Amino acid sequence: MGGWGARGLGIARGPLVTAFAAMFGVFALTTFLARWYDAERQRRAERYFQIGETLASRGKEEEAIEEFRNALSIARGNREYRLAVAETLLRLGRFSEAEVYLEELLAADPANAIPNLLLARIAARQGRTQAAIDDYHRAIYGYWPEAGERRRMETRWELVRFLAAAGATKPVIAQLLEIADQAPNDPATKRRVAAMLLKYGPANQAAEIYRDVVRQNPRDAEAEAGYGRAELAAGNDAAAQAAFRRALRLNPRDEETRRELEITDRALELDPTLRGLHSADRYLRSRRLIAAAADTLEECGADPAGLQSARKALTAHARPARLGDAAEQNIAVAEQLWSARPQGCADRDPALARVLARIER
Amino acid sequence: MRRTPYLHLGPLGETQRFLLLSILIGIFAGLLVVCFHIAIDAITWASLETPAGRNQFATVVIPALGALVSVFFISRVFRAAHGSGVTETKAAVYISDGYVPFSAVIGKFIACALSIGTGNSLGPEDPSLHMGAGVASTLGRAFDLSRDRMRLIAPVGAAAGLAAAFNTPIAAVLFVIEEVVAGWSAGVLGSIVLSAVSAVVVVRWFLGNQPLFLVPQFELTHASELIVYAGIGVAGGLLSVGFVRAVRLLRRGTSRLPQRLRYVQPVVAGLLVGTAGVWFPQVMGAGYGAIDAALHNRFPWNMLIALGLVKMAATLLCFGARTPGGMFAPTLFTGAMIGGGLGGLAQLHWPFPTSAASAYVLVGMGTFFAGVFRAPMTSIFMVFEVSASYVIILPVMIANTIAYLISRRLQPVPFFTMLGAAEGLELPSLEQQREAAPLRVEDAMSPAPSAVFAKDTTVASALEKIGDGGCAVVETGEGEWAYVGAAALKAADPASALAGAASLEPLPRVYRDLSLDAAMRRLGPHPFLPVSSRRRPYRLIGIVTLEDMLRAYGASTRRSA
Repeated sequence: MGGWGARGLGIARGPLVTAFAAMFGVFALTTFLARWYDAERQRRAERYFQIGETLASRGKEEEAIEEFRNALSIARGNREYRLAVAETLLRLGRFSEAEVYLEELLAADPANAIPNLLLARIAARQGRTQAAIDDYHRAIYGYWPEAGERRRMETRWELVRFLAAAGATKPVIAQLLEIADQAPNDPATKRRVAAMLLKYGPANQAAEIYRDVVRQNPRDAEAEAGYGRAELAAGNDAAAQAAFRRALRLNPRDEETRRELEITDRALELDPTLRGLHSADRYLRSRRLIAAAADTLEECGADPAGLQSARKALTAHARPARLGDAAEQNIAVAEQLWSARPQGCADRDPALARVLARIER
Repeated sequence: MRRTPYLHLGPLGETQRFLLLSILIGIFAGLLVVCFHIAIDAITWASLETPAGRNQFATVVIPALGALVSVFFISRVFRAAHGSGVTETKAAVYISDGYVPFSAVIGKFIACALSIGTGNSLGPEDPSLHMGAGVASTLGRAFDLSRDRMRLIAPVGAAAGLAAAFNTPIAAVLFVIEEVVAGWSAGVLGSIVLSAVSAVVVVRWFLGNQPLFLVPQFELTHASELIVYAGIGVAGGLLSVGFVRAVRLLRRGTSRLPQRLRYVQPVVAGLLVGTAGVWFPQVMGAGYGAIDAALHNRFPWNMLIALGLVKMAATLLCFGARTPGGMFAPTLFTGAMIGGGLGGLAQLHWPFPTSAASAYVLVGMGTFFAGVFRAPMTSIFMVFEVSASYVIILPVMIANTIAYLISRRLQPVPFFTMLGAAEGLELPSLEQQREAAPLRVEDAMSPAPSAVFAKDTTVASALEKIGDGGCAVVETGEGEWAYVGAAALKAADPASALAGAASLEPLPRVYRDLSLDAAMRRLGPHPFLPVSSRRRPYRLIGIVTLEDMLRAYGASTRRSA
């Protein structure tokens, strides 16, 4: 033999063979023991975990944590156990402890979305806005082990709520638009986005999204109604009126839309500032505006002296030479009257209030 | 079969065989420690953590029973397995020519698995070190190693056992160098490293790559925190001094008790530990789970301090009662808890930003260890290996060094030296060797002779300068000198050159910074050695004779006394 036999190694054959035989024997025994040990550890860890889950489901969070920790002390690499400890600590408000476990989960798997989401919640609760935003983004763009798209969307909505609560309007709008982009064929989500945009952002963007929904789903009454409200907020009463009418055709029982339509109809009748009106029509509308304002103010208990001069102007029979100027004067009188209105007066005639509010702007 | 030259290795030298044997030792030690680890857990599951859960009676009684049975094994069956393991391994190196009986391995395994598994406050590392040394010694005897090699085999196995137990190969190597071998020797270092690495590979194969502790990310939040860490070092140092003194007192006290009470001590200790375990279950056994929990901010600062103090007391009782088991894990536990507790206090009252509590737990871990065992490099690297964080190094160095210095100042005798002395053994320590001033050639050398001759100088000219009875120093080449003795000069033809009067073989050259021990080895039969400068090696700056060297040693001992 070459240089690798016992003689070549310069060692007596007997001890060498015995040593290797003993080593293989001990190796085999250790393998057997290690397998048993591993199985037993898994079994114990799983038992602790199950007990913990049972306790947690009964609201015994403190005891559940101990069981989860016992499980984790045996199976230290188990992410499910670690996550269970972190989530339970979070529910108990023990944020600093929870953070430690979550950081460990991230150290092992930085792209995992769940720890990032939980860290975002901790940061949000502690008022660390930027950290929360960063963690939310990592959660949104991270890896979700199951139901990824749904969880991602839920996280986006959670971020939107957080941003809204923090008063961060621009990021809210950005997120909402991102959500709309991510759900091109989901009318419910898009309606929800548009409704929030209407609250926080430019109405025309909300209107655009509603329009998209309506285009894809012509029989969507809710979208039509929303579209109407968005157009109304954007100052396009005519478009809003048409949308409300379509919504009512699709869903005649929508009382809220019906009220909106009634208000819009009346506002359109009253408004002397609409484009395309003839000067005579404008003049007549301006007189009707003063009368409506005076009537409403009278009902609200406004100062009679102010109302008297307005009514006097209305009772004049002579037709002014320049109807356009007269209309402008009347509008100014109505505006002036309305500016001195008592509290709560606007609620009596919402259509009038809407017209005069637009005039004031 | 025809041998071709490049395949035929020939028999290996003893050094190569020793290195191969080191790998084998590492594998065996690793396998043994894996089984040991499994045995401890299996006993704990069977005794304390049954499917029915813990009950108070069992918690109190089981440690006492375990201690009783383990002490019985040690005192009646496996006597060679007594002691913590480190002192016994050192004794094997310095006294028994590396002999550790295999019965010590078996006895340590059974007794310590029982005592630690049943909850006595002791650790598995020291027994693993001793078992590794035993395996190595057995293999060394089986392979008929020379006496010199046999003396070195025990530390090789010790490093393997410790590395496997801790899963920290660097710290294990350093500890064996610092404490067991008590000296840096290149000859054994390679083998120690090989065996430690082999053992760790085996352990990780079976038990996974998970570190001993899962350590959260550490950051030094503010420079002023270093003051807090220094404070932890002070506390660790002072506590370690108190602990070591208490161990000495307790051991002295228990050794004076009658033999018939030798089983009572560990039972009493076990009962007390079990009783403490009813309120503080974390202090039972090695306590790694509790350290891990502390690293995860599990306990408030007052609980951490309480755990540290209770653990210290529990370990004192068990170790003082001579229950089989080691001290490494309990010292880490105590340091971790005290450090974490003080860190928690700092978080409440320190005026500057502080780190998370886990950082103080991690740093504290090494301070008590450094103070008790006085192995500063081991304590630093151990924390570093456990945490895998470079940022932690600076606070650890500060805290551990302070603890070490306080312990050295207030407790002159190192811990293992003290234990050895209690057994009637006087064993060296690296610390004591560090304190001995090394002697060098420059401490002994005499000035260069005024006459240094060229080879072609005549004998007559040389004799004229040096006179009868002197020897001539001849420069035979650049940076080479030889001598011609007085007898050779007398016998030579006065007209002949010095080159013809004697063989003029160059003398071994030494430098002034060389140790006197190394210079003495080179002296051999020569009357002196030429001393030259490293900057200009061809220039003779002095000579050193045997008398010079002996005078230097004699003057040195008078200074030390």
